[in-house]
Amino acid sequence: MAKVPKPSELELQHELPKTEWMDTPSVFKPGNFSYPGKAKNLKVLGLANPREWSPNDQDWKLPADWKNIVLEGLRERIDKYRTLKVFMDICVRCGACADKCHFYLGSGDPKNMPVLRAELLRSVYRKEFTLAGKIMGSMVGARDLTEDVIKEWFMYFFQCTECRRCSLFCPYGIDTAEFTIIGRELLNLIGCNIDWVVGPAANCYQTGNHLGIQPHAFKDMLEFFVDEIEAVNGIRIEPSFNRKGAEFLFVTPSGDVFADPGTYTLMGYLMLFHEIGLDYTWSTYASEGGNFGFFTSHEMMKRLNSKMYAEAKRLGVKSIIGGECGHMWRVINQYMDTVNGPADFLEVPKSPITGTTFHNAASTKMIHIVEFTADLIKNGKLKLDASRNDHLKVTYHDSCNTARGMGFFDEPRYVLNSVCNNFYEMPANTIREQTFCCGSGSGLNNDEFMEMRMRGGLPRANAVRHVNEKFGVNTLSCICAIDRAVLPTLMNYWVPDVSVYGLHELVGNAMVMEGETERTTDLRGEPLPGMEDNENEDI
Amino acid sequence: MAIEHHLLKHKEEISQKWFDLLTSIYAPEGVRLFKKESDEFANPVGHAFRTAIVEILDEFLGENRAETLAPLLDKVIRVRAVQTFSPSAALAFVFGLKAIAEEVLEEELSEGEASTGDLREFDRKVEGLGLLSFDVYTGCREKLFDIKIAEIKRNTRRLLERAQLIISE
Repeated sequence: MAKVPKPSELELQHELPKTEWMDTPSVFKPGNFSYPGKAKNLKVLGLANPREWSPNDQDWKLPADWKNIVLEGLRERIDKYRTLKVFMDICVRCGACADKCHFYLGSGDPKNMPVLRAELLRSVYRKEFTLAGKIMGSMVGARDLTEDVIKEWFMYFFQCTECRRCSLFCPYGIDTAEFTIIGRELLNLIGCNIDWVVGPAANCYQTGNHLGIQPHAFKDMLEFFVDEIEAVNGIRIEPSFNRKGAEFLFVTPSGDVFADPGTYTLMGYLMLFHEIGLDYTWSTYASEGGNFGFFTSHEMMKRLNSKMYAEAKRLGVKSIIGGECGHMWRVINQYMDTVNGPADFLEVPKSPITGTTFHNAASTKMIHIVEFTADLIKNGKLKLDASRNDHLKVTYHDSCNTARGMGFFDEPRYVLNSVCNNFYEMPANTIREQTFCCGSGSGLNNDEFMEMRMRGGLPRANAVRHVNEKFGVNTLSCICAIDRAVLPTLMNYWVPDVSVYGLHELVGNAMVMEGETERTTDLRGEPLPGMEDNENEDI
Repeated sequence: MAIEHHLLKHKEEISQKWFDLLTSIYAPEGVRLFKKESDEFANPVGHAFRTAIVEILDEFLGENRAETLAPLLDKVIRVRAVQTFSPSAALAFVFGLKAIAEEVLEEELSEGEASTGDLREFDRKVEGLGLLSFDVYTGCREKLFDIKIAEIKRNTRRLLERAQLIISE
């Protein structure tokens, strides 16, 4: 019979091995990795080495010449991307980035320190591409590329959300997200990816959106929301689909079409465009703003991004408006112009309501709905009753991609302060450019990864809990579809009193529309402040 | 109450030792982070551990009410429950309080101000705290599974509603 251990023995048993990082192998346990990409999805995308496998297996069924493929892939990318070449050599390991990663803050796992995450790749670079590394090996932080290194890359490049908070603190401006991006590209060359990335990317490639919603179902869902809006304020909205000659094409993440609470944000878009009489169309083909190709490779990101521009060309619109999304905007703002642009066949976006020209989008010809709405409000074009959101005490989560990826800080706050009376900021070192990630970005928002997501999201949740306790905040607003999908779960675990809202849901609540019937509820069917009695009468 | 009276005099030392024990399970780099950074938002785990430990000790050595202790234990255990530790590893720190008490009371024990009988009584009390910790830990893990299901439901409710497979309220 097993001996019951004493508490002191338990302590000893559970201490981590005090080995150096290079000598500490990765251990895959349920909760700390995402399921691998399915062969059928890899085949759709034309990715290498489609097969059935699991990170728990000893044999990952890598191609016979996997080592050569990876090293050649690395050589090619070092030649191609100057940033990567520079980032490989200039880090002085000062550690400024070390305690800025949300995964490291939540876990204390040293390989989640951005500097060490980058070393996972740099160590191989040193061994293969530098003279010092070839001669002196581990003395200068160089090591051979082995299957264990590949396993370590898979674990830690898929434990990074590419949020780029660490890059903000690097005195040399090293962007660790680029290591993750390249690391994932190299892994893809030998068929190591996660299904939550390649599944949506394959769907998007085949049907136009991550969820694989077919055109008739997409149209059907939007009409369903039209009914819901009519039930709330009596106004019948008639959106158009695939309409040639519309002034704008509107593209938003498909998550908002099916997943609550994004669905309410989508109702807000419909209401806004109806109210201002915008000449726009939805597309059932370019029906995805998000770009999970970005989490696979640059090439895949380019492929998926090109779709919305091809559709804009086909429909003959003047410009594109994009919905509340995160990485869609990182791709548009940082990559689109050089991978698929400039979009010369489109016009620089100009608001037909206010006459404002958005010169910031002179090349991509695509503007964010929040800047479009902020401009409408600034010019007094919307009738707003902020008291309709008085039941909500609101704080704002800066999504990493819109905040750090495009410097988008003040527009959402301007809109929020126009549609809500109770807005409270989280502490300064957790917002704007220093914002903490939701912990589930870059394709890590799957349910098998829940433990990691909860610990990675802890720094964000901790700041929300602070304003919840201090000001009674009950609403976390955001402008990213992944945030809308994952923050309710994060809040549910750490701060259960807080609900998650998209910004345009709050706009939809506050907007007084021409010809509306008396509003008694918000878009969720909850009674508006002062209308609680009406609700009871109905019952 | 006698032994608690003595232990309260050593509260700071006990807190420090308990914090060290609590963090001994992490890699050295992680321990350094949890210990050094005092900003609550730059070090949420270390801050939660440090503040919760003092609050737990105050209540445990004072009134020792389960309803007050549970939310305090939750501050530590909710974090441990999502750090891929086994349940025993996540909760071993609670039982470590026995050895810490014996260590800090060395002088009182040798001078007869506290007895081994008192210590045995205290050990039983720590076991009570351990049982309460199991409840809290299990609650956190159950919540983790609940939120997975809730997320899946949230992502598919509209689809099912539209396909008329379920009826909305």
